[in-house]
Amino acid sequence: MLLFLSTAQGWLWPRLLPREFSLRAWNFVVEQSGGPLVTSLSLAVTVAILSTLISLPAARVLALHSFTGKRLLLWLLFLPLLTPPLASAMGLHGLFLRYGLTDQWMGVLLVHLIPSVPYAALTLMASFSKLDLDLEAQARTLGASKWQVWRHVTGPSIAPGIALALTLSFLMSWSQYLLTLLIGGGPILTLPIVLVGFEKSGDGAVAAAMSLLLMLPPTLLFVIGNSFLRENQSIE
Amino acid sequence: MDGFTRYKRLALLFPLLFVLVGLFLGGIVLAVNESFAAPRELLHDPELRAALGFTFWIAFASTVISTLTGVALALGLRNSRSAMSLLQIPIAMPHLTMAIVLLHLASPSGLISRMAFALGFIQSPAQFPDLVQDPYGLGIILTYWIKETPFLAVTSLALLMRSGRQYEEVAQNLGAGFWDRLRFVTLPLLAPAILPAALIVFAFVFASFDVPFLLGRTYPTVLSVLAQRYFQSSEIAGRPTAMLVSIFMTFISAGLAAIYLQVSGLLRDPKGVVLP
Repeated sequence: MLLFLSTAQGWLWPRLLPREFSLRAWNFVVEQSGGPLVTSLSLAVTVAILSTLISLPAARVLALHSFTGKRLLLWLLFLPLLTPPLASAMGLHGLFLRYGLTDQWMGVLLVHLIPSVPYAALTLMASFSKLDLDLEAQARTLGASKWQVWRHVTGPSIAPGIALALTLSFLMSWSQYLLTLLIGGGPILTLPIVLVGFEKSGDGAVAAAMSLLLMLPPTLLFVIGNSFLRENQSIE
Repeated sequence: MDGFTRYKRLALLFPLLFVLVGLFLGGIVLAVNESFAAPRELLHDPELRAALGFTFWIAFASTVISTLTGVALALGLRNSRSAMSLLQIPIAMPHLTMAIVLLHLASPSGLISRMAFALGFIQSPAQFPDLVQDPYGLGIILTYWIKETPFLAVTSLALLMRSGRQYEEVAQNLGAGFWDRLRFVTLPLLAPAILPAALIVFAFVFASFDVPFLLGRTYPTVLSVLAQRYFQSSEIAGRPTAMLVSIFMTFISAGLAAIYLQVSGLLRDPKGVVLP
């Protein structure tokens, strides 16, 4: 349906199918969406990597240790998943304004971390809690260095968790609209921002083409994830 | 267990704390601080009250119908092997895409209206019922319905696959009919997983922005859209008012989160987290 919409020419009511097709919208998207695409991708990739790096050490501590304040910290980890980041972003806007972070890639990156990091942390926690610590200890006893233990024991066993954490935090940033709008204002144009702009200004064809572009990474990640799962199942 | 000292633990947790405490909580504190400048009359503002009612209506209606169809779908598909992975596709789609698809399906000049014409139900686009930008938020609810039903179906399916059919077979052997089995065996079995999932959907829809922003009308609108509108307005009171509205939403969501964490027991065992 989006494909029809993006290629239709003069698709007037009540025709069920477009009479003519044109690549106007697609040509336009190819020419114009380079900038937003780069912005969206660079943000999402950076958010994914940063969220995972931030969460890795913390997830290990949270999954394997008990300490005072752990319940409170878990609470705090769940809270951003269910509360809108709206208030945080609005509050930070004033602060960012003072340090010149509004309307900046960097500022948008920081607010995108708020909804992404909890997803990454919870995913990694689940992985670490299944980690066999004895295996690490054995490797150390056999003389493996810290890096070797990580490379050959810890890393491989939490690899699926890392992949999932990267995927989820990538998607959180990729489909983000409101936070980008609040902190990025006008200058930071991501794919969702441009897409909504076209939809609101009545150019449905371009918006439809961009929607398809927006769907591409989730679909790809889904296909990859699924084939990966199937492979794992066949090993079992 | 690795023998981390308290300081090493703190160091390892620090990046996470920076995001959770520094950005998330810090932002809220700053917003509370700015919200004090909001005019008092706001509490009696009819627009705000309408938005509050409208937001609750949308969240409630979307949650109820998604839960019903989600459970029904899971029961219908429990024997299908590919159902689980097929249902994941709409879950991974951005809400924005879904809203745009629906906009072009259900608007007066959309595809459904064209089909209605082809079948002879209507003669002009004006006769097509308002499903988009309508006063009851039907288009918004429809979008969430399509988007959240698969999530609830996957949650139910996961449980159905794990718990198996033994209980239902026992009930059947004891002479229970289809409805009795559903009412006394299957649904009570599903409830512990479905209720928290439904609560997540409610909290999510309550706070979301994209769908009502695209499919809703100017009045009544949801709280998040109202807050954003105040935030970008040029009036002096706009900014603090936006802060107040979003803080208000945060409190309600935090309350929902507290109920969710209690109901699901996730604080004791944070491994089984499910998210839309």
